[in-house]
Amino acid sequence: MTVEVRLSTPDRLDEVLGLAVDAISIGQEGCAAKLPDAAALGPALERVRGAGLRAGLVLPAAWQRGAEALVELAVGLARHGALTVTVNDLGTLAALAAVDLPDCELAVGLALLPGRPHDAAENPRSVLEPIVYEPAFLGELEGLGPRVLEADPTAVVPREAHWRIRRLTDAVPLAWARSCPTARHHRLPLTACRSACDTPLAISATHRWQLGHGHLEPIAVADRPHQPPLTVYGNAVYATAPAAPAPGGEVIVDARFHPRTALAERVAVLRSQQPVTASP
Amino acid sequence: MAPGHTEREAPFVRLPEPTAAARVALNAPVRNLQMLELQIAGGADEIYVAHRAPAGQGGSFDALPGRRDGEPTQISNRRLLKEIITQAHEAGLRVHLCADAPAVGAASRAHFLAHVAQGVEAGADTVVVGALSTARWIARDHPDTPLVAASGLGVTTVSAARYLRETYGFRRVVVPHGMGLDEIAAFCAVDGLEVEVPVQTGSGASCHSCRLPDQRGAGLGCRAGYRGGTAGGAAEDLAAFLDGASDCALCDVPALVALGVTALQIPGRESPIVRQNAKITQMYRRALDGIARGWSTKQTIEDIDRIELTWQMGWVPRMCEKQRCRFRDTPHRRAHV
Repeated sequence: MTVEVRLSTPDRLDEVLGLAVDAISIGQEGCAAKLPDAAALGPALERVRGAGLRAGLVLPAAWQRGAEALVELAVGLARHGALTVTVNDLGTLAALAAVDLPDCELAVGLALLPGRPHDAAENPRSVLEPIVYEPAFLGELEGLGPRVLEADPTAVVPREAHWRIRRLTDAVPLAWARSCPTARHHRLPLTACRSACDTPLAISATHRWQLGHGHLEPIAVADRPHQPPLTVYGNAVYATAPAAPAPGGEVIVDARFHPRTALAERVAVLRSQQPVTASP
Repeated sequence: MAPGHTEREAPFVRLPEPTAAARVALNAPVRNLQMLELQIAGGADEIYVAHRAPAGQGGSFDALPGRRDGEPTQISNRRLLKEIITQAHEAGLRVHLCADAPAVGAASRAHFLAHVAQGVEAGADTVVVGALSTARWIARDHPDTPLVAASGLGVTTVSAARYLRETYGFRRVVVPHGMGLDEIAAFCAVDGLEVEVPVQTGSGASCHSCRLPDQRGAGLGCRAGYRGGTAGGAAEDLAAFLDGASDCALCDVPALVALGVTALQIPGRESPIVRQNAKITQMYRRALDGIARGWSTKQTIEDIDRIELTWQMGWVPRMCEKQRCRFRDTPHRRAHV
């Protein structure tokens, strides 16, 4: 099993460089304001490469206002050495695919995911019902070059797909928001909010938004036990993964979910897992 | 009454020529003949419809489940679909067929394409698409039918819009809720691309990558009420913690017209109160008519206030007083990443 640790910023880089990992990526899927600038990322990624590890940059899903800056950042960093660039929106993927970057590995990120068909009636569905990466969906992305897919622990990816799969462990991302709930909660404007999202909020739904009148009413008693505990980091909402990825593959550990000692322990456990071999 | 614009957006706020109002369509939801009649009366220029997936299909073939909060979201049968499209055309309306399922499995491909073909044969003018793979399938089967990129496709950048146009032939893009005026201006500057802007909607999470509506019994997850707090801290009532609360674009219809958007999309195919839904269309029609008359926004609002009881009863307390503005400098929009 190969282990990649994902950091939102280089703040914990020294700690992670001391762990038995194969790759270190910096960034996250949701927020361009949280992404460090080139002056901070460049040296950090160089240190990762210098340690003999695969270096990764995770670009947040772009909105038009910041789209060009994200592409410029990625191109600039990719020209300084081998780099995996994880892309979380179609426009950035299309833009980077058009640039000649020989040492750059493009990866499809967690937020560039296929949707799920809605129920033909109104049957309840779990937030943890797996995302299915149909070959047709992956085929459309292949036209842009990537062959690496980052997927959540529950995602279903067809065996015949010629993609390298890197699985996030421990958490399942459920949503990203342009209007950041954490910044709102702390009443912080953009950029002043950068450190607020280092502290997660644990939430669960208590009230239903009633479509007819737009008011909130208590969730029905029968549905209350089904509300999953959610973790909010900045503008991203996560649920706890119901199961770990199968041993033997490539995994991504989001360091935010593992404070200092817990991260080292989690990495050690993952490193010790042996691949599952098929029965003779 | 409304707050000012953000520094980023203010340079893109201009007064349109009165004649420009006629170039912006109101695209309204319809699922039955009553809704069609109400939306025509409310001033819609276009409608968007979806019809029920064939029996035996577990999944919906559009962007909504078959029912939401117990209300149907789709036209119930082919005959009614044909009737609605025919009546809409007779009234001079353009009809968009929603086939914007976020995903269609390989096993359902033939059924999905037959479903789309029924809508095209019934006279739909465009097909609204929600996935790259379905775009390719539909473009192959219906090369003469224009494609619309649904907001669920998550076209957040001009780069994505250009790619969709060049690769799949999309002619119109419905931009996601969170888009600012400066960003909409960039989309409008793309030659040959129609830009549709959802109005009177704008919740918290980005719909194209959101699973929160699957929280059982919580309704739309980003609109739901939450309780919680930091680890080790006391849990508190966080109320509508994830709600982006930026719905109303009424005061910025002039800015959108001046930018050159093609259409304003009224939400509510699932609306349980169809008269109220058509009233939203009517309010935006009043905003467009005010521009055509050369009125200021203040004059238009005064006219609405004079005529519409729902303005003081519903709109002002729920939108204006709460500052649920779609394009203004509000505390919610200051938290846009």
